[in-house]
Amino acid sequence: MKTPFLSLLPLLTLAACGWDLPNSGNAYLHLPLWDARGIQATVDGLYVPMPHNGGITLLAPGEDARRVDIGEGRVVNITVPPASSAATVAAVIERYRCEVDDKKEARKVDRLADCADEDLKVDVEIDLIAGGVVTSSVPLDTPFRSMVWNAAGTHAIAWTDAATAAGIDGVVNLTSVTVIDTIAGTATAVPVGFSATDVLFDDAGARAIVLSQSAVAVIDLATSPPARDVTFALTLDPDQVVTPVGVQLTPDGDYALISVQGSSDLYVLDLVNNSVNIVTLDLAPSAMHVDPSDDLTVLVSATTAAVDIMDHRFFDVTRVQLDEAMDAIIDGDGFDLLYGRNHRDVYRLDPLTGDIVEFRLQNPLLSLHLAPTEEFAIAFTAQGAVDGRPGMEILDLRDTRGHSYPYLLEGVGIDAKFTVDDAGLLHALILQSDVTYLYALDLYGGTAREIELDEPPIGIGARAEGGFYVTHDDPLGLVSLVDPTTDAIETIAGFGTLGIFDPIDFVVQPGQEETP
Amino acid sequence: MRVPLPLVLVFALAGCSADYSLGGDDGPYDQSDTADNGASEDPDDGAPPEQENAFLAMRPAQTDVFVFVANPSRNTVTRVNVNTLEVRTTEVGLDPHGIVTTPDNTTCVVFNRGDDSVSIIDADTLEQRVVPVRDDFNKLVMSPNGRWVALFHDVAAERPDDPPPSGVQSYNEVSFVDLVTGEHFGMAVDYQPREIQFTPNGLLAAVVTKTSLGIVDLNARPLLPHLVPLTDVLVDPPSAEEVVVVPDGSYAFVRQFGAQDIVVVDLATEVTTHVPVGENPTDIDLTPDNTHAVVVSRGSHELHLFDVAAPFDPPQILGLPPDVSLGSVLIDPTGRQAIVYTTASLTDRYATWDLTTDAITLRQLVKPIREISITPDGNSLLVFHTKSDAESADPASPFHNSWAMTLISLDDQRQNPLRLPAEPIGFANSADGAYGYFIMAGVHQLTRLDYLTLLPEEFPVKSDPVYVGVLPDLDLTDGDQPKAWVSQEHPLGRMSFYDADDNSLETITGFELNSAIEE
Repeated sequence: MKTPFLSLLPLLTLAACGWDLPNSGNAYLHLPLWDARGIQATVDGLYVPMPHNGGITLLAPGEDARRVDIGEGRVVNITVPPASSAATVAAVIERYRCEVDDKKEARKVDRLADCADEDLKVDVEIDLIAGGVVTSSVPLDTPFRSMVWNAAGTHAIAWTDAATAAGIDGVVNLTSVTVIDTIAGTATAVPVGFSATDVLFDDAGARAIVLSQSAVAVIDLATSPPARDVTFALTLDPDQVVTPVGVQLTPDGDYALISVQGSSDLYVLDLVNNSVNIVTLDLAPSAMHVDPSDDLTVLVSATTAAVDIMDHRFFDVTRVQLDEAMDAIIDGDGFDLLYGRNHRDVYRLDPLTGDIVEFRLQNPLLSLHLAPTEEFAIAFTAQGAVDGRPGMEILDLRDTRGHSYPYLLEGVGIDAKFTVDDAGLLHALILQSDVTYLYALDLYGGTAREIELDEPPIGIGARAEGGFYVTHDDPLGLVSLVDPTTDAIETIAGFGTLGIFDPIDFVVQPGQEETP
Repeated sequence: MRVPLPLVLVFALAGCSADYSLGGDDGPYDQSDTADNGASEDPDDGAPPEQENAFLAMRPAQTDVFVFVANPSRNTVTRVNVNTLEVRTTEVGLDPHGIVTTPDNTTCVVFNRGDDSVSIIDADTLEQRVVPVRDDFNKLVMSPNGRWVALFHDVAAERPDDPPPSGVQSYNEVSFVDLVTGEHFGMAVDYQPREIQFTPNGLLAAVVTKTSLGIVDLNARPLLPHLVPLTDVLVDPPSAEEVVVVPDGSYAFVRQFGAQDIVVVDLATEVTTHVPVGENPTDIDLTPDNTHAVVVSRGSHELHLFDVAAPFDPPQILGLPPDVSLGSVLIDPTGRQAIVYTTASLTDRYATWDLTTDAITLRQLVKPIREISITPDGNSLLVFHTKSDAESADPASPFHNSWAMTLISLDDQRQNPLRLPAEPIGFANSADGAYGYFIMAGVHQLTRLDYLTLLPEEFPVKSDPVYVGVLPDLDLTDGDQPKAWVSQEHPLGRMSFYDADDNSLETITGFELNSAIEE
């Protein structure tokens, strides 16, 4: 007679060994499979961030979508170096190790979530990728949330500010930035001040201006290793916090213009003589733009219905009154477009003469887009009070009388891209929210056509090889490649499932030695 | 009979441009030279002493190219190149509180109140030497030739923010510093020095105390004072109120509080002689050619003119209008004429005195006088008025109970009285007499005065003005106007520069931040 114990033995054994059942095709999606808004268009194709599996997928023309082999880890940031760089994208990658002393305990650690916080070690590196392949990597000390490249693509500066440091484990140094030399393959921490917020390289790429709380530092990139050249304090009172929010360089590179939050003071840093002068404006600038050809700076403020034009010799300011306060500037060749979100005025300003052309929109402005030929600008406007529909107005910038041509849209305008056909005709591609077509408008002739899409779009971007890509709100991945010359559309779908069952893992399994 | 001890001190007016901060009644900057208010001591007319200008410690100093600003809270001095607006900041000692420049524009001298030292700074290179001086001083004076500075503690110049003295404190000490060699010479003089004057050639200095003159031969070693008593009264002696020294070093004329005479001191023999000068002498000045000393006797309405070469000869006496109180005299730099006036009472009249003919003419003003200035070319007079009015003033006058000033052409006596929105707090005249500049409390503007047309022009600045100045004009014939500058209130420093040649105003702000630049 069989004893009940023997019947139960398999079950008991199973209980003793744990519920380590084989994968049955399920995956828990705590993060999206792909990031539609993080796509980087390069000569290799479209690099798509994959938050769920922590990697990158390349959508190359004429090829199947494929994952870029970055090894085990998680991509936290992708940037596109300047075209002159040998790399097409740079990815900041976190690699994880779980250092558990007890080997028995280590065997229990199978996934990241199983590793105790105190045992989890994070190594950070920046990988340079070209052709879908990692070509080199530079180890970093800590993760970063922001990165800026110089024009030559030889250096990048990465940093984390106090506001974005949340979620980074371990001790985070908020008083330094990391200067990455892609040629030498080095990363150097340079102290700059507390909580760097922005970086601007000079045109030669030999210096970087770093904005921090109550300070501005200049880093000399020509020295090896890169080093801080000078730090300018923005206040002498330790109780006062001065937050720089904008930086521009004068065309000769001799002066850095620093705007600060909530203040009408514009700090003019003399980078040649290392001195500071404060130009007290009559407005608190919301936006400023240095016009290189006229050697002037244009400043607007969300709280003042005027535009100030400042010369770079004596930093004298000339004011031009406006009817509405503007908070943004788009620079053109010899002119600036001034606009304010939710306002109805748009101004074309000649900074040299101070002459303005006023465009009056039918409804409040949502966004403004300047055509590459600078003859037209497209303004997306909010729903009208009368017609209840969002709108679009074509601003004819050739016209000194401020003429614009309003259109009613079917959906709220998301973005506009421009293309010039073989006949030299300028077309605008209009993307509308929840609308499954691209509206292609001949800006000269006014004729239009609709290019059908499979799904409502999220965004549109320009491809390096020409044409555009449109992203759609499809959790499994959906991108449309649009050729505006033929209206042909190639759809790439489902790429979000790549690596769906390949979670972010350790570089080395706990308890095992790392393979050199 | 008292043996006269003639002792002569040479009075030399230092400085290349006439930059003043306004003092006197009706203003907060009452920086009178007088240590004591002699009103109660004057038995004759009952009016207080005449008010004159005094040195203000925090005023920026200037050369022909640079303006130097002391930053006490940062222990730095900022140098601004007026032409290029380049700013350089250098560290000095603790709590820099007095700053002057040499007449040759090569050196800036800073008194560091916090650590009792003097920084001697090369104006071009900003290289400096630091010379410790005696403790607890609060006044710095430079010799006219720029070779020496002297420091002392002036009780009348004490401020609430003066650092508290530590250890033994003396009220009899002075320090002399040779700016060329960097040597320091400390010495004790008489009680409470209140003024130090130098001969123009820098060979002799005189330390004026209440009851004596401390004569210092700056070539002698050891450098020690020789005290010459000004009175033989040992109990409650009268205090010296004003000292005028003849440039050749022969005599000094001393006016004492409440005295009815002046004391002529022979510097060579140290003999003092009391010389009668009518009733209540209130002012002494030298003529620009240094040949005569002029004493204004307010009580007897007289001018007494002494030949400085023969001070004991009977003076020439000129009568002033008997029905008006006139107690001060200001002689134009050309020696052509002088203004006789008073700041001790609300008198809205003044007299012009033609030094060639000795004609004295009484003239009317819209309001009483607080301060006057004659331009360096002697052609124009600038009168700052009190806010209070004369007793006989018309209440319906537009100037009634208001600040005001008057521009006057001394050639033809044209006047342009101006009603002001606020109290004037400083003025400066260009060396060629073409323009003057003044600032007002709380009014964000620099006002330029055209002395030819007698017309003002206003230029806005960004914040409350504090000091105003005009750079020295090294070439009066080139037709270029040196820039005027005005410092303003700003936590990080602000200064504006006006160029009359192109009517431009440039401003630099935040120059104190330069002290925190890390290189």
